[in-house]
Amino acid sequence: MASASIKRWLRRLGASLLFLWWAALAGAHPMPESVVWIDTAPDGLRLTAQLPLNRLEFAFGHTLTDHPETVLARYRDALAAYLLVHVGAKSGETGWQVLRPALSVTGTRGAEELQATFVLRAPAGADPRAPDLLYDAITHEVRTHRVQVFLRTDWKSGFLGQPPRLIGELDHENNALSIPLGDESTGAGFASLFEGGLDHIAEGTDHLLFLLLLLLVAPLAAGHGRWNALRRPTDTLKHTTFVVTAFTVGHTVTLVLGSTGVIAPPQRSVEVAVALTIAIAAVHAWRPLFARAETWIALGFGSIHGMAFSASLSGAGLTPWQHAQALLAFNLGIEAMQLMVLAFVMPALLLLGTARPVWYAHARRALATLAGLMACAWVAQRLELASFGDPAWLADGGAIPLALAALLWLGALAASYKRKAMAKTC
Amino acid sequence: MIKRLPTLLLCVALAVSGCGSGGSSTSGTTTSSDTGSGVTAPSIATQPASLAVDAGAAASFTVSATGGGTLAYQWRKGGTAISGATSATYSIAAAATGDAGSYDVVVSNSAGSVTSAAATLTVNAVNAAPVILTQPVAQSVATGSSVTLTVSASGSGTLAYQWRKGGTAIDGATASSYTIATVAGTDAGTYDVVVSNANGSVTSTAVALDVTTTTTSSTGTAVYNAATAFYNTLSSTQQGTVQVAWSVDAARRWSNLPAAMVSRNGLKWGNLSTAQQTAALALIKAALGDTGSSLQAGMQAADDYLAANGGGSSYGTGNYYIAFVGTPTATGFWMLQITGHHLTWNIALNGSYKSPTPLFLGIEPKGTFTVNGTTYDPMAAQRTAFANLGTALTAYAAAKLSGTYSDLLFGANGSGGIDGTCPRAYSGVTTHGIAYSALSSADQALAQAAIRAYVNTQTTEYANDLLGAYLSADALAQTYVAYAGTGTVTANGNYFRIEGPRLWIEFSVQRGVIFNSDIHYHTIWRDKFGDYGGKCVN
Repeated sequence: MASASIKRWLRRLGASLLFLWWAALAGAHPMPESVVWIDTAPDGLRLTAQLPLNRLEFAFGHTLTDHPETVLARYRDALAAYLLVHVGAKSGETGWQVLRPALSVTGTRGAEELQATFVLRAPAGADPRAPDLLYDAITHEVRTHRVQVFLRTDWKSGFLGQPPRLIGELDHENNALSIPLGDESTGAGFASLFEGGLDHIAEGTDHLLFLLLLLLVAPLAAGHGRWNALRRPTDTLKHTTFVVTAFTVGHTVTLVLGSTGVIAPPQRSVEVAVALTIAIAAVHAWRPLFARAETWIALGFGSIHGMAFSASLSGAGLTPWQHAQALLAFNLGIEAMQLMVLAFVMPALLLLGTARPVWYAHARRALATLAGLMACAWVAQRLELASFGDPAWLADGGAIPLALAALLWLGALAASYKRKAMAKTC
Repeated sequence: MIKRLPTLLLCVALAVSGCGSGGSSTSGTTTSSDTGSGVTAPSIATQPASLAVDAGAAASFTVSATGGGTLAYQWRKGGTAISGATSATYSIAAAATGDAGSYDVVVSNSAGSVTSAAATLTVNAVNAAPVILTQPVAQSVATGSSVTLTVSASGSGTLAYQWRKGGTAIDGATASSYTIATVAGTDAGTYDVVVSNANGSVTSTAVALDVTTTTTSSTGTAVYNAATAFYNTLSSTQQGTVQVAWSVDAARRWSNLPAAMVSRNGLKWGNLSTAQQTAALALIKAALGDTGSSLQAGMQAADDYLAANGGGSSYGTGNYYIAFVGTPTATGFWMLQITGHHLTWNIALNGSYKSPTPLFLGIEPKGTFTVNGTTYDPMAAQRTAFANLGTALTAYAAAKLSGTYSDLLFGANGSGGIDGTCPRAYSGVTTHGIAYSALSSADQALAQAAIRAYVNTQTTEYANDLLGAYLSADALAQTYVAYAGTGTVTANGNYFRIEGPRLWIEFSVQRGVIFNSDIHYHTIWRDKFGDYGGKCVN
């Protein structure tokens, strides 16, 4: 258990380092290396190569950096032909077929890259699980150039929803690389994404906090701009079901749209929006803002959280059928963890609310204040308005939500004990 | 309803901020894209067949492939394209032993490409006794440092090596290079190596290993005293930060990227008080002398210029660092590391012995600039020396390297952005340019000037020691000069290299980053035996 959580922590650390690396790359000082992302497909590989124009131009033989915006208009066919001669794969001695790449020019000013997406097919009789990548684009000419090769997704061995794994570097002297694909196992992709969904909620301090705030007011009825008495248990259950279902529908829709690439919201805006939803939910927990529209709000906020989930689930290289399974598995994982949270927290809330409504109100306000402050800190941090030096409590996987739930239970138990004790003495 | 209006507006705003296509820091903007075509991609019908021929005989490979449109062929040897080999058949008129290897062909059309199976060409050579290609080099080192003798030889079959000292075989010294990790006075002597195979043997030139134990110097003590004085101005927290435990891995932690991107050892210049900076400057002066310390000041000014001209806060004087790698001592080993964006000094001291490499020296802007009313041109000496040398080299066809060098071959930008591979695999570099001895005496002087431009960044007594080693007749006999590109210091992608048995200098001209319509420089001076105080040798 401990080693699994350390592994997850390391994975998250890796992801954030990778992100920082990319953020740095997009900054003023480009890292002029090529990067190749590999996703496995049932009959071979899907390969996405990012080639910096300021190095590619030496190998391609025409200046590209002068007008990056017209590179494809000028050289589309010539670039595709150039790349096809310099990208290939083999298993054993059998060469694979490479289809003409889809090309685009991406990147910030001064650090533009050619992005080429290839489909590599293993011919009949060749093992699609044992490829050697043959790659010398740029490096055949530029002696100082390096290519980093990452494995991004491999459905059959369950390598999904994780930071890409660096599998090697290529340069002028080294133009072939064996791609180590893990052992195939039935259901590995599904299981890995189900676990990914569980982890995503369990470690996402922000998602957990949001869920906690929704649950906190679920048993309460509002009136005259304030939270009043407890609903009846059946009403609470019904209402909670509505809210949780709406949240689920919302995030499912955007998760599907995001992971299929129909929408591509910028990650930072999404992260800020998620923090804002927590801030609003915190205000709402203090004082009802939209008591009658909670279901709709949960739907809307769910769609924002779904966009955050979709960053963890790329459909690259997956068949439509695998993609559907991936979405289902990831979503089921998210659902399962949400239900576990619900099952853990709701009895405590009901117990406390029934035994000591005043305590409940205090606890609600205290939680709302804390969550509101944390949300503000997130907003400030994610907008880079402030830096808190990444303290553990603000980061993902922090112990705050667990501590809060434990406190709720302590309060609930204390309240019900005291009430019983009082009942006895009277 | 009215009451709920602000909430609804907020939700709309959120949805917009969530779905909008604002600037993303990772994906950038897609300016255009491509789609595939309707032609069938090629596939191989008949694979090329392996063959074996005698040296001097003809050899030929053929492939047959199917696919739509016009098929293009590119034959490759060991995965590297063979120039001009672009038809369905590839023929070699007279196979040499060097032609042996693995061949394949990439067949492509407008829809895709396919790689053939590899076919092996075996060339049966006439059995040959070993021949020495590169003789070992005489060396002069200080006690305590490390030294490596290397030979390179060719011949059929497996070659066996036996190093000898004064004609007596050295136990266990049976590889192509022989390293003494810690040189003692008793290691001085004459060394040679016998290379043998089934067909015969050859003995290398015998070379001398001089062990210098008598160099007297006050600099080691002066640097130690200045380091102590600086250390004493620091708070205990700062003292903990400036002091880094010695390891080669710790020493390698520098980069040619700004410190904001690749973190450095030690204390940040911008976090030092005025008094501490004064003490640090005194230390730099003690370690580097006048030329080196004014180079340091000019480099920091260059970074200030970048900061003020669009570079922002990642650049500037404050982003330089100072660290002690290993504990300063007057008599033993430690290293003073001063590192920032375009300048890194690795000054290793070992009593009276000093090693100043690797020295990374780069600059943007490339020429003169003015900061706070002072005009600087810190790299004028190195730039001018290579400009002159480059003009001369274009007259020598043998000096030109094939391929493009878009940055330093052995810069710091190895894995993880630090000085990644240590020791450097110099033996992997097989193209050397022109021998120094083949240059005219006027052009030899230009090559020497370029070497001096780097070595003279050091205090005179060490500069003289190193120049003695680099410019000795023995060393110059094995020194090469090379360039790639057009031989100027003004065109993107131009590159120069000077390499000797110990010396390694690279000079790269590349596109500017802050001034990206101009060019800027990355250059490095390495010492194959002395880098990091000789602690980074095979």
